Amino acid sequence: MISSTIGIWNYWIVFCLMMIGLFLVIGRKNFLKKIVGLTIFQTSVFLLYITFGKIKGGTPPILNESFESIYSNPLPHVLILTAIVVGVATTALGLSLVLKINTEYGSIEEDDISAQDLVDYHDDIKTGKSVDLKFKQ
Amino acid sequence: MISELLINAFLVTIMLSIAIALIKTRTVIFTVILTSAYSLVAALMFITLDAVDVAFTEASVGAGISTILFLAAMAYLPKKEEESISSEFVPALSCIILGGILIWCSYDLPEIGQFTAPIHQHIAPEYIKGSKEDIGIPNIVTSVLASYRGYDTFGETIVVFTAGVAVLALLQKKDPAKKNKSQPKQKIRKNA
Amino acid sequence: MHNNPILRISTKILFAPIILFGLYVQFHGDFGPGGGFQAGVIVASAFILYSLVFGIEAGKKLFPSNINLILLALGGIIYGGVGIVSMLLGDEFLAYNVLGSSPQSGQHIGILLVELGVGLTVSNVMIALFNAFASYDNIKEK
Repeated sequence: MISSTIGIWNYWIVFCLMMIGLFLVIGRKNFLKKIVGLTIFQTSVFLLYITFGKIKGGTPPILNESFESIYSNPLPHVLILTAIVVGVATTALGLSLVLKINTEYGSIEEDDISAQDLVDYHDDIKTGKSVDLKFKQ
Repeated sequence: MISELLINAFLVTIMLSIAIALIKTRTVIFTVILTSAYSLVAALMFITLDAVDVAFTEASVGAGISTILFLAAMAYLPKKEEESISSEFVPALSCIILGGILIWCSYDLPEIGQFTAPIHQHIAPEYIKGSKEDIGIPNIVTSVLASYRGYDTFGETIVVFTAGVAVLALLQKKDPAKKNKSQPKQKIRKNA
Repeated sequence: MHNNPILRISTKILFAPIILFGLYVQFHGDFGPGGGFQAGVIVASAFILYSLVFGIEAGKKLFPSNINLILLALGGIIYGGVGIVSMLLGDEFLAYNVLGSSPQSGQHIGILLVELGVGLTVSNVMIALFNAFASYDNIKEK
């Protein structure tokens, strides 16, 4: 029982980590936090893949002539290796978009930005003030 | 063999606690540092799961360069995260339901490290054999990365290149000759 | 950080060993953990360390942006070029067997060149990203 629980414990926690990442993306209004959430989600997916590739008693997939051994599955390692580097490049792209948004709006909070858009839309100071009040409550 | 799994379970629980701390914190610098710590613990996990190349990459890229990029971007951004005005109940509930379904499905997954799992049957044995006989390189990950799946890696390299060029295009100065720093930052845009 | 002697001197001492370690990881990737992706990031971290301690301008003097951009594209061109050469020699795209005298040596040469291309692209992308973020001026346009 304990052995089988430990055997799928990794999956449980990895799914929890994924959901925390998803929550940071959809629940938080701060754009930087959203990008951090994406990173968390990404890393937990990597963990899931690598967990699939593990073989009990296996060694890292580097061939050695001196002793015969079982090698863990190298295929997920290859897929994830490239995905990590691509992930950081795309994270940088997201960060640069956040920087641009901050320069344009002076804020990276989603509520703040949509309020400003509303002000622009109505193009009217009175409406602007009422939206501002609603935003502050 | 159970000790390996115990170390795994311990490390993954540390990752869970870091992620929970990430939800709680509202300061940007803590967020960045916790993300870096998360990547480092993930790298340790990759070592215990026999993925040394991935651990190397995660430690250098995830914990190193990405933290530097976050810090460099942070210098221009607000240092505090504002409290949200809208309720976080619906996102939290949908995440919990989805997570529950995934955990329920995890009973159908093979236990960690089973040699009989479907993933180990199909193509990996051919790669391990071929790396020794056809390619003659001890590191199987490198031989699969560069030779068997060369197209894949080519595509990934082009994606990294494209992302780099896109960031340069977004962040470069529009007109370096004309620098008017006198323009003040506006909190709320007026008549655009 | 420009006035801190400990940081300045340790950066000067560390710079060469970091690059050396990057090259080791790059060319030892066939035999141990490592390869183009990791090596590119390690080499980039040496230049980023230099820029952090001595300032962006000094970093750009050490490694000019136009050379950075050329090398950024050159990595992808090397990778694609290996594929084209193997096509010209009568095999498929990115099939390395024809590059050397025997299939195994051909594979060795192909993997080495391809990893070199990956390393060049990744290291230069990382340096370019850091420079772009660090020298961004936060001024609204219009």
